[in-house]
Amino acid sequence: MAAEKSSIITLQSNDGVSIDVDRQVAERSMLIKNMMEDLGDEAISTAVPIPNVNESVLKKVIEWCEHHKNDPQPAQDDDSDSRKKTTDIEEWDQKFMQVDQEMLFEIILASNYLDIKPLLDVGCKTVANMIKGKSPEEIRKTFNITNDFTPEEEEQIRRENEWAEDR
Amino acid sequence: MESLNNPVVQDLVLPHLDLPSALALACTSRYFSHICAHYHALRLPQSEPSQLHVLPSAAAFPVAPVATAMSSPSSAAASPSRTEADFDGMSGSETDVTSPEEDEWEFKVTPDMMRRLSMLPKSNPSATLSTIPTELQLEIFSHLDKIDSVCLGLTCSRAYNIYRTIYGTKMPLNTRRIGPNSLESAWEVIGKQECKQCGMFRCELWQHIKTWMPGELEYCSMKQNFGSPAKPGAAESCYRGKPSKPRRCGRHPIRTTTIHQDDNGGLQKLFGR
Repeated sequence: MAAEKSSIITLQSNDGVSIDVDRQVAERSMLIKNMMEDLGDEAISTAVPIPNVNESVLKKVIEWCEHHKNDPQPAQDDDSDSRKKTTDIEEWDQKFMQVDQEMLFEIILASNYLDIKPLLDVGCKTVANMIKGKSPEEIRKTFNITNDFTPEEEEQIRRENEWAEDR
Repeated sequence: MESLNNPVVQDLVLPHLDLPSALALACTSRYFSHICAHYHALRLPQSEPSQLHVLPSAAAFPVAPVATAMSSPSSAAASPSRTEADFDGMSGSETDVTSPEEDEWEFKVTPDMMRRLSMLPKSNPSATLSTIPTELQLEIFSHLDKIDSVCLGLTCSRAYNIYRTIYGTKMPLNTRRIGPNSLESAWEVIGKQECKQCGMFRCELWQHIKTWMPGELEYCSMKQNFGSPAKPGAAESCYRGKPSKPRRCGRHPIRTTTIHQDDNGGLQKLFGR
């Protein structure tokens, strides 16, 4: 128990920065957890490269893992039922997600890669909350999306959805 | 994305580097070795150009753990092509023409520089809503109800394809939100927040996409579609125009019901009159 607590894993971001993390914290990532189980204890001494994540994002992800290190691990197999489909986010996570959009999507990408389901959920809920109640044009503005529909395609959408009367 | 891979950022940063730092940066990748050569060749004393010619081989070094923001592996993968693009520009051998005793040379963004930088392929796509992988967009859709899904789907064609895969077509314009939710003021006692599109009323899909529809069209709640606006002097709101015809609107008497057009099998023209 005590030995496990004290073990430290070194993660290396794609820009070459090494970050020491408690094993318990790092194992919020199912990717790292499974890798450690597969490789055994001798793997702890070598740095784990995280090729898809840069330093600032990795630090942010670790910050989340630190705060949530004592959360119960989600069961491996049931995913959709246990995560309630509400977009309520606990207060600490809301504060944590108050970052610029680029960082927000970097966190989503990183949590997807590292397989940290609860963090991915928080990220996607944050984005969903930014979308809710907005019109298409407002969503485009919020996320800097280019409208690539031609007028004909928009007409086709209206037609196939039966949104406009026939003239 | 604001990283050192961005040519504009390079414009700002690189002139401030001294030679050792520039050489260190040049060692990080082939791309940077050319960029640094481009900026610093102009300021090098006579003896050093030979050193610069060594630089491209620095690409053979393993990438040293220097804190340059390499945002993702794709940016690294993209660099060889950028190198070539930059190399074409370099063949103008500006370095040879410039006389080495121009010590007082100052950094200036010239139109020519901008032109050459603009010839570099664009930086890798950054992390945005429209560029993240489809399965993650799907994940985001999973947290949205029908009204918000339609709105997100109408923003661009990729989002629409995902939306259509989930919900198909023929989403009724009077689609509502389900159950108690924080988006409609009707459900809130404290901290009432009116929907920006629907105000104090329950949300309906047509309210949320009316700005997306052509401006001259008007919604009819009897026919549940958009169409030509009511004539002047018509009633304020839609109502049942004739007791025996449940779908006939008193405000829009000539409006037709929409027929579905991508379904070639069972076309049925249903007039309300």
